[in-house]
Amino acid sequence: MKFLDAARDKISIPLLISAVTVAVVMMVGNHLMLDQIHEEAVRQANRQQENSMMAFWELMNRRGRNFHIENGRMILGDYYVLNGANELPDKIFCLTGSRATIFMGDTRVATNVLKQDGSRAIGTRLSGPAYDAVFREGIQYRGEANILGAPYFTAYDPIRDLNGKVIGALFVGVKQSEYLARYDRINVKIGVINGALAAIFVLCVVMLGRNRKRAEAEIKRQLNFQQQLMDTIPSPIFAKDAQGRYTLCNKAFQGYVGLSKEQLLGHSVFDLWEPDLARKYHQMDQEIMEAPEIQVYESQVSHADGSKRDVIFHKAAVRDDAGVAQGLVGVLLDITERKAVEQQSRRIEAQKHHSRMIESLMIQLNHDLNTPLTPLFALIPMIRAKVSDPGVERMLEICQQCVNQIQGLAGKAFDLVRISSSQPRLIPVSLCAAAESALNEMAQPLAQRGVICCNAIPPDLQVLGSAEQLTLLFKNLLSNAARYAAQNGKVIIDAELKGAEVEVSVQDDGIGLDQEQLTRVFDEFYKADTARHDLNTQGLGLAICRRIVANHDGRLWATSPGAGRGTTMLFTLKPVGQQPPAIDEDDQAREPDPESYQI
Amino acid sequence: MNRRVMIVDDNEYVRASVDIICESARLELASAASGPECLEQLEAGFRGVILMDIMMPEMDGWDTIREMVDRGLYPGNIIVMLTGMGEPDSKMEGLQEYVSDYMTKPFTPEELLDSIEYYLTLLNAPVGHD
Repeated sequence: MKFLDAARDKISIPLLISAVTVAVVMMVGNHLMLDQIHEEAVRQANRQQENSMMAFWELMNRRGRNFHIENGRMILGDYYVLNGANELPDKIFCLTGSRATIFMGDTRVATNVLKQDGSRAIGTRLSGPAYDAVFREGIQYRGEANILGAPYFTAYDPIRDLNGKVIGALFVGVKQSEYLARYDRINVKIGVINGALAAIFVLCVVMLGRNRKRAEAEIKRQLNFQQQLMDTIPSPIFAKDAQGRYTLCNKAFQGYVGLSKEQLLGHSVFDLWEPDLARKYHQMDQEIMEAPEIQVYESQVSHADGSKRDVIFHKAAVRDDAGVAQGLVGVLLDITERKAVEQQSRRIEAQKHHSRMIESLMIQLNHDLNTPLTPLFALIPMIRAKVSDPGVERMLEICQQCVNQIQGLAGKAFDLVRISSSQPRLIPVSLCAAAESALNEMAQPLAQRGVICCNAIPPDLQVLGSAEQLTLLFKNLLSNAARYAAQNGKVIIDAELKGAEVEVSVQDDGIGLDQEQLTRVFDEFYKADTARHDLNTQGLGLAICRRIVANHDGRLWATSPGAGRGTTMLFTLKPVGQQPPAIDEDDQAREPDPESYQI
Repeated sequence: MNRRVMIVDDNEYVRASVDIICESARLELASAASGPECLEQLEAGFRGVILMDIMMPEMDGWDTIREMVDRGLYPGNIIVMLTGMGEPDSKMEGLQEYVSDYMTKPFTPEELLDSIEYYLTLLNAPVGHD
C-alpha cells in the first residue's frame, strides 16, 4: 500500500491506468494469439490421429480383411490373433508417434497405452463418449477423450464382423500432455516474455511519470527561485502578455504602485492607471513588441503614496522560437531623487556661476576703483606737503580720508564677495599662527591708539579651516578692536576647546555695545553710532567675519555687559579630527545669551 | 647711473601722477599707455625699472612680459607689477621669475619711490642683476 501511495504521489493516476490497460491489452492479445495456436495444434493433432488411424487400418488390412471373435479372441483374417498383438500398436507408435489400441469389445487386448505403473493397459475398458459413439451408435469418434485418467487426442473406429456388428474398436491417440508439451513450453516462454514486457512497460511508464513529476518539481523549484529572486531585487519588475495584461510582478513593484498581485495580474494598463499615463505605456508597449532591442525611456508612475514619480522604464519583448512576441518584461528605475539632485546641482551651478560673475564684476570694479584712486593716493600727500594754508590743509585732509574710505570699501567689498563665492577647503591650521599673522598686519593701527594686544591662543591648537580666511577674520576683529578699544586699552585673543568645538574670543575694554547694537552689528554696512561718521570704516568688517565663520560651520556672536564696558566677539571652529557636520537642530535650538547676539 | 623708470598703464592719470612723483625724485620717466607701446620703447633701447599694470585692454601685463622675454628685451630691466587685489593670476604661470616685486594700487608716493630706488640700486650694482 505504501508503494501504491508513493506511486500515486509520484505519478498521475490516469497515466498509471493507461499503462496497466496497455499491459493488459498486450497480455490479452497474446493470450488470444496463443489460443489460436492452441486450436491449430489441436486441429493438427486430430489430423494426425486421422492419418494414424489410416495407417493402423492399412497395417491391419495387410494381415487380413475380416474380423471375428472366436473362443474369446479377436481374429483378423483367418488366423491373426489380435489379442496380445502389441507389435501392431507399437508399429503405429513407431510410424506416427501415436499410441494405438485394439479393442475386443470394449476391452483393450493389444495396446501401448500405459497404465500409471508403466505396464500396458491390457484388459482395461473403454468408457465415456468414445464408448457411446462406437458401441452404442456404431460410428467413429474423433476428438479428446480421457484415457485412464489422462486426456488424449483420439480417434476411434469401430471394428465390425462380416455381419456388420461392432465387435471391437481401433484406437490411435496421443497424450495431450505429451503433444502439447512443446506448445506449453512456448506458451510459458511467451507468457514470461509477455509478462516481462508488460512489467517493463509499466515500469517505463512509472519511471517516465516519475521523471515528469521530477521535472515538474524542478520547474516549480525554478519558478519559486525566480520569484524569490525577483522579490529580493529592490527594483520594481513586471511582465505583460501579448494583450498587455500583467502576468507577473515582484514585491518591489507591488509596493511601488501600492497594489497587490491579485489587483495587478490579469489587468491591463487601462484598468489600472490614469488614462494619460496608460495611453503612453500602451503606445510604448506596442513599439517594443515590434522592436528587437531593449527599450529605455523616461516616464512617470503613480506611486503608492499618491505622488507622481519620475522613472526610467527598461523593457524588452519576449518572443517564441518563431520570433513572435508573446509579451514583454520591464524594470522600473526611480530617478525622482536623481532628478531632484540634478535640479539641485543645476541650481548650485547657477549660483556658482552667479557668484563667479559677481566676483569677476567685483574684481573689475576693484581695479577700476583702485586705478583712479592711485593718482589721488599719490598726489594728495604731495599737494599737502606743498601747502601752508591751514584751511586748504584741512580740505586736503578730508579729501585724503575720503580716498582712504573708498579704498577700504573697495577692499572690504571685494573680500566679502571673494569669501562668499566659494566654500574654502578646510585643512588643519594653527589658530595661534593665523591670529599672529593678523596681529602683525594690524600692529600699526593698534599702536596708534596705544592698544596692547595679547595673543593667548595655545600655540599647539589646530583647527579645520582656511588659513587665509582665518587671518582675514582676526584682522577684521582686531581692526574693530583697534578702533573701539579704550585709548591705551587692552585686547585679548583667546581660544579653548569646549566639547566638540573650539571657542575663540577677541575681547576689548572699549565702548561696548547695547542690546540693539548686539543684534545689528553683523549686518552689512552697519556701524555703531559713534562710528557712523567715521570715514575710515566701511561697516563690512563683521559681515565678512560672519561669512568666514559660516564657511567654517561655526557660530559668531558678540557679548557686552553694556555701553562703555567692553565687547567680546566670540566664534566657534572645529578642532582637528572633527568633520564639519551639517548644521544640526541643537545649534538652531540653542538660545543665545541675553546679552549676546548670535548668527 | 641709470635712473630710468617706465610706467606702463592704460590710465593716463595714473601715468601722470607717477610722472609727477618721479619728477620730484629726479627720475627719468618713460610712459607707455599699452603693452605694444612698452615693447616699442624697449626696442628703442629703454633699460630700467618697469612699473607694469596687469589689467590692460587687449595686451595685458603678462602678455607684455611674455613678449618681452620672447623678443629678448628682458635683460637689463627690472619689472614691478602694479596690481589690485584678486586680479586674475592664472596667466602668471611661468612668468613670476621675471617679476621682482608687486605693488598694490593705490600706493603712496613714499611706497613707490622706496621701491623704485631699491630696484635702481640693484640694477646699477656692479654685479649686475640678472
